[in-house]
Amino acid sequence: MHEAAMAESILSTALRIAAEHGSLPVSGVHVRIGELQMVVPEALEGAFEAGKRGSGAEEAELTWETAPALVRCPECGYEYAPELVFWVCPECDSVGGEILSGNELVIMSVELADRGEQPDEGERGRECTEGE
Amino acid sequence: MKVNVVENVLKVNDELAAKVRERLQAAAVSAINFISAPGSGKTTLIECALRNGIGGTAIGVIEGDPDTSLDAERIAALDTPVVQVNTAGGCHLEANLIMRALESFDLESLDLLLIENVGNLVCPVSFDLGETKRVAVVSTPEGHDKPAKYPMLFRVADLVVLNKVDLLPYLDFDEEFFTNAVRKLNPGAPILRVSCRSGEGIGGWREWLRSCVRSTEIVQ
Repeated sequence: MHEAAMAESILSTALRIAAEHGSLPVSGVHVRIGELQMVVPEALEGAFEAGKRGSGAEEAELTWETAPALVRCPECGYEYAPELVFWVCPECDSVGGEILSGNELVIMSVELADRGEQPDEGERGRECTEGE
Repeated sequence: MKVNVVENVLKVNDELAAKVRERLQAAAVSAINFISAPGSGKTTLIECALRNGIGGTAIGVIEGDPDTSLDAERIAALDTPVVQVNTAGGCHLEANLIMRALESFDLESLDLLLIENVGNLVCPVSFDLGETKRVAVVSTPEGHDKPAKYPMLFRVADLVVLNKVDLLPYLDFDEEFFTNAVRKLNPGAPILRVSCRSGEGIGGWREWLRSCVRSTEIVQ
C-alpha cells in the first residue's frame, strides 16, 4: 500500500499551499497519475480519505487524471505509446525503451475554498482520463 | 481559488534520496537496492557474498523488514556492520529511513552498502533510496511469469538474479519464458542464475558485486 505514503505527501503539500494562501480551507487536490506508476487511483483516494481526517483538510476531495505512457525506441528513436507489457517499436521491432512520460505522479493543483464557504459540489468530479 | 502547483508527489523522498546519493558518493560507497518478493532469498544471497568475501571489499548492510531483527542477526553473525530498519507494517523502504540508518555506519571505511528492501515486487520500485544500482531477485518457486506480471521492477533493474536454480528439476518453471520476458522488458540487464545451496553462479554474483565498487566502475 505505497498509496498511503503518497496520499500523506499529497495532503502535506496541499496544507502547505493552503498555509501560503492565508490558511484557506482545502477543498480539492488534483493529481496526474502516470499509467506506469503502479498507483491504483481508487487506493490512493481511499488512503487520501483516511489520511485527511484530523489533518485540517477534512473537506478536500481528490481528483485525478491519467498520464499515458510514452516511450522512445532505443534503436531508431521513434516515440510511441506502448499498448502491451512488452514494448516493441512499431517502426523497427526493437524491444524496450526509454520512458518519456507515464512514470510521473504529480500534484497539478490545489483548490482552496473561500473562508466559511462549503466546497462546491460541482467540482467533485471523478476521473477524467486524458485521451478518452 | 485554484492554485497551480505541478509538484512531484514523491518530491520529499526524491530530495532525500539525492542527499543520500551525495553522502555515499562523498564516501566513495556504492549502494545496491535489493528488490524481490518475500522469501526469494535476498538475505541468503547477501550472506553468500559476505561468507566468501569480495576481494577485500568492505561491506555494510541495511535490512528492511516490517518487523523483527532476524535478518540483521544473520548478517551480524558474519561480522558485518548492519542496521535493521523496521517499517512497522510499511511495504517499502523510503529515503528518510536510509538517511537515518547511514548515521550508524562508518561510511568512510565501506566500499559497498547492500540495502535489502521490504519483500514486495511493486511498492519499492517507486521509492528512490539514493542507490547506485538495483537488483531484482526472483526465485524459481515463484514461477516464470513474475517479470511479465510485475514489469516495472524488471524495466528498472540493473541486474536480474534467478535464485534457487537447484530446484528447477522439481518445478514447472519455464526458464525460456522467464528469460524472454526479462529480455523484452530490459534488454540490457544481465540475468544471473544462482543457487546459494549448490553454489552455482555464486562466482558470477560476487564478480558482479565487485564490479559495483566505485574504484572499478565508471562513475555515472
